[in-house]
Amino acid sequence: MLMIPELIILVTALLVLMAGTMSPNSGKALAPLSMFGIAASFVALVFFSPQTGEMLGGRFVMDPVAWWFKILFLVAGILTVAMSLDMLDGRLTKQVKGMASGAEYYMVLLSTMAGMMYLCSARDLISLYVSLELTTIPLFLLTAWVRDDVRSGEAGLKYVIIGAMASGIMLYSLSLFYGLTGSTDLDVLRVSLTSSPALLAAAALLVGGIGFKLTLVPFHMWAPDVYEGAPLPITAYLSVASKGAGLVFLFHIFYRVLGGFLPDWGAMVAILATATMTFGNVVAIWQKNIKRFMAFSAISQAGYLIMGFLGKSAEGVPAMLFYLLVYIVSNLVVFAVIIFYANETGREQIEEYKGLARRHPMLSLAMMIGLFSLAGIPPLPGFVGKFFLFSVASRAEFHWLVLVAAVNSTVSLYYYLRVVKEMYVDPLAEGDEKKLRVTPVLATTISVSAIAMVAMGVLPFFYEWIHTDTIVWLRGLGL
Amino acid sequence: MDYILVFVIIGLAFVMVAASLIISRILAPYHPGGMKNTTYESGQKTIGPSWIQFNVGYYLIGLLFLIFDVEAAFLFPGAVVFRSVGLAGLIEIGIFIFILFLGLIYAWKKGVINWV
Repeated sequence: MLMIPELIILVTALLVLMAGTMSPNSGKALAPLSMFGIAASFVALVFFSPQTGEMLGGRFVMDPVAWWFKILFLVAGILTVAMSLDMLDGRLTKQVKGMASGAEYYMVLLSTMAGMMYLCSARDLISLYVSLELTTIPLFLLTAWVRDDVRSGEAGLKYVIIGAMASGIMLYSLSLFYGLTGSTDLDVLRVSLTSSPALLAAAALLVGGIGFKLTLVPFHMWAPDVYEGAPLPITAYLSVASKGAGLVFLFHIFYRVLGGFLPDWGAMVAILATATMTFGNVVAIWQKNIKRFMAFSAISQAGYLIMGFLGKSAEGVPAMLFYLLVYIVSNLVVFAVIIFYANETGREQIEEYKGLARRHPMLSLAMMIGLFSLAGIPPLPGFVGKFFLFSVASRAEFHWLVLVAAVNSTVSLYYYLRVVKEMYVDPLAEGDEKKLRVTPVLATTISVSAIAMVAMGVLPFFYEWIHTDTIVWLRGLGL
Repeated sequence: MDYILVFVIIGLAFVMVAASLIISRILAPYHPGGMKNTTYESGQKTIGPSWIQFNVGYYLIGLLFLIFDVEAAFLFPGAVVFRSVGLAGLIEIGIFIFILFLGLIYAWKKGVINWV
């Protein structure tokens, strides 16, 4: 039974909803229940699910790449639940008004996770699209979750409108694929597609539609507003998981369907990557709100990520998977500290992080190494991940892109350091001398993921795992 | 140039739309005003203005109705192929109805059905 992990997630979603509805006192038990469900799904995936196999007549397939993507989504999901729980249980020093009950929140969050996991295994344009919508529509809801906050509502509305447009663009592309071949099966598409203007149009529309998800420039404009308005744990989830979903979709289409054409389109991927990382970095420098800052940082990270699509070899796939893993963990460490600080003080401006290192040295340390990992400083994993992505680009003869990316990494170091400077160098503001308390769950989340992050950078076998798991299978595809 | 046909069809689409608008403008009688501006109430005389606030309960009940309407629509194909899908199909339909039933319980518990 390949579908067990997904089914566990869906059943947990229903259980959480029903438990929350049936007994009003169950509020605090819902987050542990969701985390238990995600953990059970993780165990089922790691220990009981084979890395290859198919069911439903080849419509639902498991392969090593899908397996690894599912692991990433589960990690992101469990960390997000751990970060959300203080907000939903009301353990905040500064209360957020108009927060609906936790049952629906976790249920919707688990649905979007299920959508992402189905996305990894779908092998048909229709089921791919349905899975992507199952991923996206719950995210609209979660973005607008804070009922009394105008910004949250505005963010939700913007996300719905732009998300609908992106879906429309993508459906156009999928319908062109169907029109060219008369089939929605990815394997049939792969053998029957030939080069034609319509194929180029389909690929361009696809990059446009998925570009919204991946926040590639010029399809990024929704990201800062949505990230700023959404509740913080959802911002964190959006910035990692929604990107991962976009990457899975692109992977399906680019490698499974268009594998033969992709090498010729390297220049376009390189231009997109250049635009995305440069724009994200340059604009991030000017941000004052930490959420917007992280939004632009996330945009620039997407630019590095798609460098993995360059070149003929399949080496880009393990590089992208590893970087996504590193990015998820590093970004969530940073977001967990941001959430902690916002929970305690309600502050979201970068300059308000002044002197945080004196108020809570350990958490500032976690945030600093998280930011350094995002900037790509050795020996942290961000450096290792970038190294593999850059080497993919350089093997594909895009030396100029490697140069641009390296310069961009340096630029990004400047603005990440700005936050570190506020925390470490600047003195405490008046009246901030009181020590901050951190809730046990958040403290555990931050320390575990920070240690995991450092371990990923120092220990070489994480990349080895992903590489050995996926590369043989990918070579078997003829990549 | 296989694509010529596509452009021809796009052109035809524009012509069709423009033509139907223009022809109906020329041929159709045009008498605005009077009873035509009143709200359509299935032939009944309207009572009061139509710009009133609706009770939000209408929408909730409407949504609930929609869920079960769609459920019925999904049951028909199941009923048509029932003989060939057998017990497995019955169980699948059962799961589907069960999940919708949970939705009804949820709405019930949330007090959607109580009319305020």
